[in-house]
Amino acid sequence: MTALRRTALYVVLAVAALTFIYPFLWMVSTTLKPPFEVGTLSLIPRDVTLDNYRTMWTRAPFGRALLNSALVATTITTAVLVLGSMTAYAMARLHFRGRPLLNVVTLAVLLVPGQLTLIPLYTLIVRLGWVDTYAALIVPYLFNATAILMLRQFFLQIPQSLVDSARMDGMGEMRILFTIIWPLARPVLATVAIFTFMGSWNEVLWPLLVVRDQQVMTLPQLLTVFALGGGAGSMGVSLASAMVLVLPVVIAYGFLQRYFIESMAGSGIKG
Amino acid sequence: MYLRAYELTRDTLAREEALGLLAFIAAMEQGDGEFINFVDTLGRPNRTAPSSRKSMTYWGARAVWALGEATRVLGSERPDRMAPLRPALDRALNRIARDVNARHLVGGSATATAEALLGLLALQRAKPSPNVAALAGRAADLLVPLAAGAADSPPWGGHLDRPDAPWHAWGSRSTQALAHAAVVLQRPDLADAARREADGLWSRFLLAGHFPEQVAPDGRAKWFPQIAYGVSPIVEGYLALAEATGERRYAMLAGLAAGWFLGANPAGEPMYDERTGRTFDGVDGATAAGVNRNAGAESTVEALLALQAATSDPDAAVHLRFRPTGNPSASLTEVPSSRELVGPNGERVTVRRRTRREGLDVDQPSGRTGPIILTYWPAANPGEVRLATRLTAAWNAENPDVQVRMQPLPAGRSTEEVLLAAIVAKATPDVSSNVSSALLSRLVRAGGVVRLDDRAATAARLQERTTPAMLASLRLPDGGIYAFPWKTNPEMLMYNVDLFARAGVAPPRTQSELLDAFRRLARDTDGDGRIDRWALWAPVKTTWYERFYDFYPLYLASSGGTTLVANGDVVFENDAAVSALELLRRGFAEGLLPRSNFAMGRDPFTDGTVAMKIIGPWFVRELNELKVPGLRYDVTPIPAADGVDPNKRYTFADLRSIAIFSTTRHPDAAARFVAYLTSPAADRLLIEEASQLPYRRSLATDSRFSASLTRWPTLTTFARYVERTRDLDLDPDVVEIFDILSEAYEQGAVYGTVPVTQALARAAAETRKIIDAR
Amino acid sequence: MHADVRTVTRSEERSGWLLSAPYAVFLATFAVYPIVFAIALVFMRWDLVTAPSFAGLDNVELLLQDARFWRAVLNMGVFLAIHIPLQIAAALALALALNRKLAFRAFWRASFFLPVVISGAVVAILWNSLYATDVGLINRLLVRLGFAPVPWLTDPLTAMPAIAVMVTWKNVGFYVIIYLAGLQYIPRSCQEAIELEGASAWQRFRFLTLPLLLPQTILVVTLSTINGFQLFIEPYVMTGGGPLGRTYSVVLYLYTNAFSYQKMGYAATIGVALAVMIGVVVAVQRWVLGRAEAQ
Repeated sequence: MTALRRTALYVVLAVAALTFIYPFLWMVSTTLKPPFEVGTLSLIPRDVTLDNYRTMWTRAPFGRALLNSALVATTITTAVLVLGSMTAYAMARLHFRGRPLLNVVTLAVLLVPGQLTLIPLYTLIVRLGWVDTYAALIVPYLFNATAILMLRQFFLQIPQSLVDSARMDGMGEMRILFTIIWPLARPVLATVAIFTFMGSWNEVLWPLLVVRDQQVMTLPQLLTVFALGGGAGSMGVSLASAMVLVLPVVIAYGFLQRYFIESMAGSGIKG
Repeated sequence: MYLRAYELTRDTLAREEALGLLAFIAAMEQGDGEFINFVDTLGRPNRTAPSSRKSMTYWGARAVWALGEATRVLGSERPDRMAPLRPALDRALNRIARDVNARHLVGGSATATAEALLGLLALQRAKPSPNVAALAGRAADLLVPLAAGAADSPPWGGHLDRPDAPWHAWGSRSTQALAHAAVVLQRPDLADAARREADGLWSRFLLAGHFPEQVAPDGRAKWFPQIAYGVSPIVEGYLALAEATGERRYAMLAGLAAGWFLGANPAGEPMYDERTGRTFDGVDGATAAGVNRNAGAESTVEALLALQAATSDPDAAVHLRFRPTGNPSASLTEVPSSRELVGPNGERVTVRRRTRREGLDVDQPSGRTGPIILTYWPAANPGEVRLATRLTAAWNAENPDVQVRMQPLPAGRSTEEVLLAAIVAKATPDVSSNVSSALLSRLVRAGGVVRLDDRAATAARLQERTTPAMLASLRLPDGGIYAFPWKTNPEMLMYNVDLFARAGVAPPRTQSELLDAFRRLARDTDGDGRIDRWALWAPVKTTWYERFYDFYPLYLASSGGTTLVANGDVVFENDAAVSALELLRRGFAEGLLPRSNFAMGRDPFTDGTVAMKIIGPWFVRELNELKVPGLRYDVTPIPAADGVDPNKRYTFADLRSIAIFSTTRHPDAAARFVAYLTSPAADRLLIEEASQLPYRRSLATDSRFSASLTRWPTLTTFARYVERTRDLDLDPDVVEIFDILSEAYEQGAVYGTVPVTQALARAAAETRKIIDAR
Repeated sequence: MHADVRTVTRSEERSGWLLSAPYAVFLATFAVYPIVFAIALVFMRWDLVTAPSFAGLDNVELLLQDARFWRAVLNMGVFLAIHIPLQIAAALALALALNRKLAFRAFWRASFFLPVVISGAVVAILWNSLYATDVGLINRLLVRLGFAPVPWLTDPLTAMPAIAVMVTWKNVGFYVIIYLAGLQYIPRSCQEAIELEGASAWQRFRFLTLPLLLPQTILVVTLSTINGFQLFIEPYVMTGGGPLGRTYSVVLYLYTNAFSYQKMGYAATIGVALAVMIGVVVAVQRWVLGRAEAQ
């Protein structure tokens, strides 16, 4: 490849990368600008101010929402990993009479778009009296079909001898799963963990339906309600609130991008 | 009497009756400020009978009282009718002043002085003047020392004309006058003076279980004949004290006392015939035979006055139908320290002497181990949460037996969803404010709310706070009121004073003036060939409630009160709607209204990008908090289409009500709380904390609220429209209908893709489809 | 080595049941029951507060005549018509550019993928600010370059394309990875062989790369379609469905019917219709592209 073409390529790549990164930079810069500077093109504000963040933080319980999101996402991820492994293990290594049916239903469920079940799930939550509770945010996500299928796929490849020798040592199934298989499954587990966590962290439609109390809202939900409800009062403030959601992700992403990419791309393909 | 009726109901018949009687009164004045009392059947004045001789005494004072009240109620509305009466009133005032300034009681009597004082105070409320105030103050000062005795020595604070004269039940209005003076003249010392008779003498009456006709200075009581116009001043005196001191127990005692009219008297017979409205003159003895069944005019008037006042106060109304138990005391010197009264449903109440203090407390032993707990959900925005916190704290302090727990409604797009979900999950609160009309019909259909106009406390408050006309549009088909109309936010056109001045524009009164204003206000300020300052912020978003700020108020200004649907039919396909849409269309087409969406959360009015916006009074507080430098604003009524009578203009107000959910286990306690949330004191807080307006009659002219209204700029102007509002239709599909209208608005006005009439017709057809599909 | 056929022990059977029972319960409650209930709701009228009433086929009839619903479907079509080609083109171009030894390769890849990990709500809010007619970045740039500002989200012609561009921007990194994975599989030998034959870069692309990437392209099309039909948070945040209903998505209409109008039965009907539509469209796509693949 000629040097010219090579430089051209780098220029193109740079421009492309810029279109992906610049909006975020602009977002950060806008949040640091005082109101009269909002909308100017400069990236570095002339008057750096943290007012937008201060306003945002006092106007709505973002700290609480951050905790809520963390709580919900962590719980769900843990549950998906543990419960999902158990289920996937059963579906992969244990033969029992319901297994084929379970398989079929799992696949079928994956095919159905979420919007179909939105209303019934909502009414179910209401009937159970779970509106405005963490239960409503967590329980419907305790099992993740995609995760189960991925784990099952992996577990199928574990050599039977390994399992048999463990059984002969008198280990129960659960011990086999968590002490022997899990260490082997680290990559898959990491993948599942990441896309489950990210999915939960970014989820906004479901919380919008089942949670109205600001103290129970997750971060993307509070952000949406805040920005839409006019509570922001200015672009700087609403973008500042978005930053709270984005910053942890970007930081984590910065360090772990390889895992992110592999995980989320991989899950999408399988899905 | 008729004046009071007119004040409460705005019934013109009452007004005419009143004016007729007032003319008679004025005719009785004899030219020098003195009055005679009677005329014979031929209309010839009777100057000779002792109770009719020309003088300034009881009847003269009464006349002044009547004329004073007339000035207060009718003076600003119908000055033409009041003018001929004024000379007689002035002369009478001069006559009174002669006595008072010489430090004589009017006519030598406390009663006459008190009634004259009431007249003066009414005048002062109507037209404050230093002379009247001073005269009233002096009259009040004359009354104060007349209270004889002390807490333990007879006559226990009763006001006597002279130290050796007995206390008369009839006309014992000193307490009422002094308490009222304390409020109008802002002299708390008068309230303390007013307490003496009430806490001392009257307490003994209630503990004794009946009211005497006369009490000697040494405390001997003459019990019969008990007369109506002896009890009535006590009732009204207690109520006046309640208002002056803010102590609810006085209102409760008023209700208990007013029970006399309904059967709480020695004969055990109602004195007030609720069917015919006539009152018997009095009770002569301890049996039914002792009822003096003559029904004189005085009795009827007195009873009606007292009952009217009592039923307009929630605390009194709740205590109206109790009767004392046990034997009435024979003497006032030996009365028990407490007495129990029993109500129509067997509930019990005890009046007992307060420990280490004067007067009586009213206890309601409920036989419960703990207090009643009510849950209350106010709206979520910070101003109202602050308000609710204060009100709840104040209530909890005063009502240890009924404690309220407040939980703000979660913030979301609409509180409707929250409450509906709560109903389904059976997790509703006892009370919720911020209930909108859109929700109400659904709530009622689900059987979810308690009817309020037949529950004592809320019925009383409704009577005190609103006129029948104001309630008419809130009644459901069965005639009941199912949510208490709490606050209203009538919308007006807010404009930037400086931008108007610079463009040479005056506040527009008609739609063509408005369009003209559009043309003069929109401009290109940075010379780039594009308009960047616009006339009005008409929202472009199609969410249904955005129409509250463009189409709907413009439509209501011209529609004479017609809304969108009525009786299951579409009624918005009319000229008013067409002209509203047409106006907006011209504005958008000529680029005078912005078609851009401003950045999220930005308000272009505050930074001067638009010169006008249609908004309600809550925004005044927001503006204040934003502290926008250099923004001067004012409000004007929303212009109506040309040729529409400006007095027939209505505006949109998103009425918010308070509802009691039927899952509550304590509906009466909840009703009392609701009556408290809508009391004058709470309403003042609403204005001051949240810059929102209570749905209250004559708000703009009621002197009790003028101070609060001036706390925020322009709020007084908003207040004038409280009774000229229209809310959302009580239709379960009103949200969808607004969405459909939003489509018509977009097509016809914003983008002009379809002629206005066609867009409107399409919207009407769609709406009919929805209604038919039900 | 044991034979593949094993006898199932009792304890294995029991463990199997035990371990998978929670999942089975979960599926029944949160997956199967809602689907059944959704279908049942199609035939009911329910506002969540009063008791549901039977409505027969009313909801379906209403849906077939509902102009707003079909407008929403049309909007989805417009969206996909813009989004899918744009997505394929952008993802493919970037993947091709990245498919070689590059300095900072990880950095390029990471920057393209960044929007994928960001929440859709944040992206919507961010781009709402970018598109703002008055102080948005895009218009400011345009004005600086001497053009007139465009009311991106309030002009009926530009609103949906604006959203389509934004969604493309958000997801392109994801599809770049997919294409990259596909590109890895093109055997070096094949490439070299064709290079030797003197084919130009374009010919190489058209006759070798593109056909070999067909499976990935099918995947891109399918996933984008499903994603597109589920569009919600973007119109919800940015336009509320306007202007002139051009950005009203089907899911937004479902949401409005359920939570603004309280018409649960009708909303469920929309949901079922949506599921059916997605199924049909995806099936058709796979069939058409599958035939191309077979060639």
